[in-house]
Amino acid sequence: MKKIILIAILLVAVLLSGFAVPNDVIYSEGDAAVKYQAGYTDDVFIGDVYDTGDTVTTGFDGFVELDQAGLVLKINPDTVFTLQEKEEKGEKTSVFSLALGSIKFRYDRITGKEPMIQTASCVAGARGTEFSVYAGADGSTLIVVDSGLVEVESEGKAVQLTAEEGVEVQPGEPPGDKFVVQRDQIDYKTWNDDKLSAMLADPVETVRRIQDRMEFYIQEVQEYDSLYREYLKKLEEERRLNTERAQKEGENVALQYENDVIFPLSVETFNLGLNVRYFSLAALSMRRYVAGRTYLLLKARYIADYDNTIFREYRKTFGELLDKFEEAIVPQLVEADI
Amino acid sequence: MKRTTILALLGMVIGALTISLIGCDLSGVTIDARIDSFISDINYDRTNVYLNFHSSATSDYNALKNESTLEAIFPVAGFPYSRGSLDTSDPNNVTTVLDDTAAWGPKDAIFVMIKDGMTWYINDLWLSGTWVIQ
Repeated sequence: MKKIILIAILLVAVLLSGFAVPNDVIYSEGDAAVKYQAGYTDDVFIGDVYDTGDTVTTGFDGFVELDQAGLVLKINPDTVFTLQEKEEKGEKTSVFSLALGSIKFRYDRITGKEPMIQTASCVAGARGTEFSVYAGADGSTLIVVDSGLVEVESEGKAVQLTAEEGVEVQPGEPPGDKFVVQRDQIDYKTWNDDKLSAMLADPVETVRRIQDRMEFYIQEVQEYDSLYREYLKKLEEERRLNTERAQKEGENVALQYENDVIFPLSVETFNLGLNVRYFSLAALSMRRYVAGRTYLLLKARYIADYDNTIFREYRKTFGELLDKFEEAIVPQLVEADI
Repeated sequence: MKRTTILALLGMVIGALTISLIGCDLSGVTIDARIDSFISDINYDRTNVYLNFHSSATSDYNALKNESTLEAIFPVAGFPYSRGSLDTSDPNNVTTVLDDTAAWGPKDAIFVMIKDGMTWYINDLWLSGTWVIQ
């Protein structure tokens, strides 16, 4: 199995001082819903304020516009978009996660912070002012820049896009060759229909790519979880020793050690736990919106030919993907995530 | 007793019951009550700690659902945690001192509060000058 390594090199702060800034709904129309972190859903209304962990889903006629200091985000129809957060180099960074559909950014370089965007197949960092991101039903991504500079990275390779350039990324693969595209030339539905056709033509390859990406998420979860448990163990040991220190050397000495050593370690440990959650939720989003949807489409297609060789092979690989997800990711999830 | 008197008394009883039942919702949760609820949950039911934070405004809301995550910041060995007096004059800067029974505290704490309807929630928590929960 191919081992996937994705290194996010563009670790730019999305928001002021590296913490999440609320996103205001400045426009909404059609079928648009929000699922809050707490697990409950509601319709999208102008004036709503969304934050990390909230997911906006638009139907065939839905459209939502979010405003964040220095950045306007347009969520197009048939889109699943989540505001997430990740810890990098001791700082928390906001991540815009697109599971399906398309979004468009307009970013004010003067007042805004550079966002990090994640899809099923790549990570993009924007030093640009206006660009669109499309997430296909098969897990592929298309990024098109209207103006500014965007760096797209996947599988350890990066491509820089300037105005009127685009690139497509397949899950589990580095970015493809960039190409020239005029403003608003891309029609998401047509592009996604092509993706669906390609997926139906070779479902086994599609599910293998999704499986590769899932394995990346699983690897990240396991590595961060391992690190988190290691730090937690270290933390517990330090606290135990500090209790003894308090008895032998006095409470003031122990308190000083707590403030100088133990407390910073506890914050670092807590942030590692946050990363475990980040990648776990990314895996859940992949399972639900990409893998799950492709399965439903294929099941409908092969409903009268269930034992078809190709569909059997697809089901086998899909089953393996689910098994790994159940084993590695589900234990990290809570009821409100489902 | 006349029928009208009985009905009037019954109406008064029902009215009083209704007011008392909805009294909590009408008054919401105060800042003091919210912080005390947070400390109580830290001590006695960590599965509920996240409910003291605002589901949209607090970025770490999801992470807080995981009990084990809290252990890093509030070790169980420090049970029970307590607080000093609260200065609630500024909801964006509610200060107190948190302490435990081990060598964790005392720690200066700042609760940044957010009001949703009639109810106050914790938005952020600072401990010893570090932005711990946001």
